[in-house]
Order: sequence, then C-alpha cells, then structure tokens
Amino acid sequence: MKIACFLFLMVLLSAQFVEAKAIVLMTSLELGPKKLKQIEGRFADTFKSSGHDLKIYHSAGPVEIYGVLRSPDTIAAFWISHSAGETKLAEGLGAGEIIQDIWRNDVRQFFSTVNPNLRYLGIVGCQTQGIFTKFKDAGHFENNPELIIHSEKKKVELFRSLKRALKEGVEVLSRSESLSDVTKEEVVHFEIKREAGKSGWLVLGDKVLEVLSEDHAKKIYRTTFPKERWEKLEMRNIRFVENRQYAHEEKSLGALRIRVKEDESVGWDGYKNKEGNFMGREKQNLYVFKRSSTLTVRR
Amino acid sequence: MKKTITQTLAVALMMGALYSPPSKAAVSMVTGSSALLMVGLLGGSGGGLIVAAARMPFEVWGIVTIIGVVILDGENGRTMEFTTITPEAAKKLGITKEERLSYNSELDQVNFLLSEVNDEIQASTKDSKASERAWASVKDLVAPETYSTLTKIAKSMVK
Repeated sequence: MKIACFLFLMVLLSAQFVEAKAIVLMTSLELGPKKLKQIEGRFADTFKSSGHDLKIYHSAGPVEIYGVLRSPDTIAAFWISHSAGETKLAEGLGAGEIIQDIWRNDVRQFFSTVNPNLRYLGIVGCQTQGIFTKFKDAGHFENNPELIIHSEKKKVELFRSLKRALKEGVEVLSRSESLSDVTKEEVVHFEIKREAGKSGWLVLGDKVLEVLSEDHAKKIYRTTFPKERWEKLEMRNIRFVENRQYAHEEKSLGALRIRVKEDESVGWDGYKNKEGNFMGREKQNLYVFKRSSTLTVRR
Repeated sequence: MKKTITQTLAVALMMGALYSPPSKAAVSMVTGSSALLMVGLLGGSGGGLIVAAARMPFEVWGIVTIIGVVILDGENGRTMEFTTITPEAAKKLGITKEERLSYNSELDQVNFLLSEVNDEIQASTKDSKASERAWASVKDLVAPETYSTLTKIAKSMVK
C-alpha cells in the first residue's frame, strides 16, 4: 500500500514537472524600488502555488517581449506599461494608439504574435482594448483559440488594473486543463541580409518579422512569417524601427536586402530622399514592397 | 455659485498639479506644432489653421503619480499620423477616387514624409515658412494624387 501511494505521488509529481510552464511578469515603466517590490509581491502571492515557474523582467523592452511571448514555455504573461488608444484629430489625421516601454519604444506590434501554448495575456495599461480588438479581428490569434486577453478600455490606475488582471489570470489557468497539440502553421521564409548597424526590429503588417541585434559586420537573418497572413496582407511594406533601448545616435540602422524564398518575384526598395539617404534619419526606415514581372518564380 | 467657483478652482489646481510638460520632440507633433506641420501644405493660405488645430481634441499629460497612485496613461508618447481615407470621408473632403486610392496605398510613405517634415521644422526656424520649405522638399517623393490628398486634408482643417 505504501509503495502504491509512493508511486502514485511520484507519477503526480513527474506529471507536474513535465507540465510546468512559465508565468511571466514584464514591467516597463519608471517606478521606484518600493513600487516594483509591491508588484512583485502581488504577482508572486497570486501564483506561488500554481506549480509553474515564475519569472519577472523589469524595464523590459522589445527583446524580452519577443522572447517571452514566442517561447512555447510561456503559459501566461503580464505586461505593465503606459499606453493609449487612438484619437481622431480630423478626417485622415489622428494620433495613433501606443503601448510604450520604458525606453519610449512603441512595442504594440510585439503583442500580435504569441505562442500557441499561451493561455492568458494580461495587459495592464490604459486603453489597450482597441489594439487587441484589431489584432483579433485581423486573425492574429487564430493559432491560439484558447487565449484570453485582459486589456483595458479606459484610463486605469496600475494596482487596480493589475488586481483585475491577476484575478482573471488565476481563473483562466485553473480551468486550462492540458495544453493543446501545437499545429504547425504554413509559413513563408524570409532572408534578410544586413549591413552592420544598430539594434532594431522589422514590422510587416502589424507583426514583428524579426528582431535585429546590434551587428558590427554583415549578417544574414532567416525568419518565417505565417503564409495565410502573408497572402492576406494588403500592404507589404516593411518598417525597420530603431530599438531605443540600445540606441546610438551616431550609428546607422544598416541597409537591408530582403527576399522571400518562395517567391523571387517580390522584393523591397529602401524609401530614400532625393539625396539617396534613407527617410527616417536612422530612427526608422521604410522598405517599400515591389513585385517584378521580369523575375521568374521559383516553385 | 460660490460652490461652483470653488469647485472650478479646485479642478484647475488639480489639473495644474497633474500636468507635466512633455519631454520628447515627438510630442510636438500632436500638440502646438501640429498646426505648423500642416500649414506648409497650404502654400501660405493657412491663416485660420492655428485656430482649427487648437480645437483638436487632444490632451497631453505627463506620467501622473499622485500620492502613490500611478495612472498608466501613454498619451504623451503618441505622434500625429495620417490615417486611411474612407470613401465617405473622401466625399466630404472633395478627394477623388484616384487621389484616395493613391493616398491609401502610399500611407506608409506619407507618414515618413510627415516625420521628416517635423524634423526639418524642429531643426530650422519653426515657422510656417519652414513648414512650406520642408513640404516642398519632399513633395516629389509621393505620387501627385497623394500629395493633392494631403493638401485637401490640410485645407479641411482651416476654419
């Protein structure tokens, strides 16, 4: 009997070990150590008995969000920062919505790609509901039908919003039984050849295509993009955005040559001024999509 | 009446305490300089624009912290941008179908121009002449139909 009980316990423990995933808290705003401790305490108290690993990143930026949300180990993630919804100023003119990290990067697009195991995403910030409604409507979370997202419609106070997000997170995780099988989505393959340049990231159709580190020599990045989304994209321009966390005023973003392996008839041209310099003054460059009928399509 | 005045004063004092001036240049694009940015598109006929821009329903608040309360408002990080024109809006602004399609297809480029013009203005005399010069220098980087849409958007703001 004792042996049977021991074995049963071992099975339970091993099952928990196998299933153990990460619940991650990312904060990105200027707060004193006392406030950060308060946040850490509430997060740890809420999930200490969850059986999952608890991870905390303060002053998180693009690199951290990219890694956390795409990691298959992340089952729940919380993000705390300043944010705002969009405002219409006139017909054809507005102030865009934003999720702003501590480095003053607009990191909104990092949240449109999540791993299929993510069950809960708690966004603690003002007026982010519109952003996530648009992402959902555009089908960004179709690979994850079980994902629940907490976002706020109005302006909010940090600890009130955090309380709501944590409470909902516990409820969602308690009813998520097992992780669904990850279905492999079809992708198109990108190859990005880059001159030496500073840290940044590429945005294609409201998704982050790739995060580029600071490179001191030529480098080739290979990445993928969901095929279904690629085919649906109306605008295929790519923005290359400086990561202000590692910004160097004097450095260039570095020119890119971008191609899609599955279709060699497509390419991108850097958007430049009359003098041949990139528009955006090394803070943000634009690569304008082009399709050439003279090139052959490789099957 | 006395109570109303007291309440108004209290609100005004609170607003003053909450306000902290924005620190980044980008903010100017949605505040006072928004008019300056657009005036260059009018080629010297933007006299009424400042008034119209001043009526824009836009607030700028700094990071608000009062006695331990942290409001997670990110409005001061936003920048002004051109947005998609719908057929209904185009009709209202007198924008033709060709202009609308051209403008919408070059929206990314247009917003890069806006950012470039903003930088130019900030780096120079910060007046309407600087705005005109900046727009003139980038005018050819988009299709004529797109540029004409920009001028019509700017004109719609003149009251």
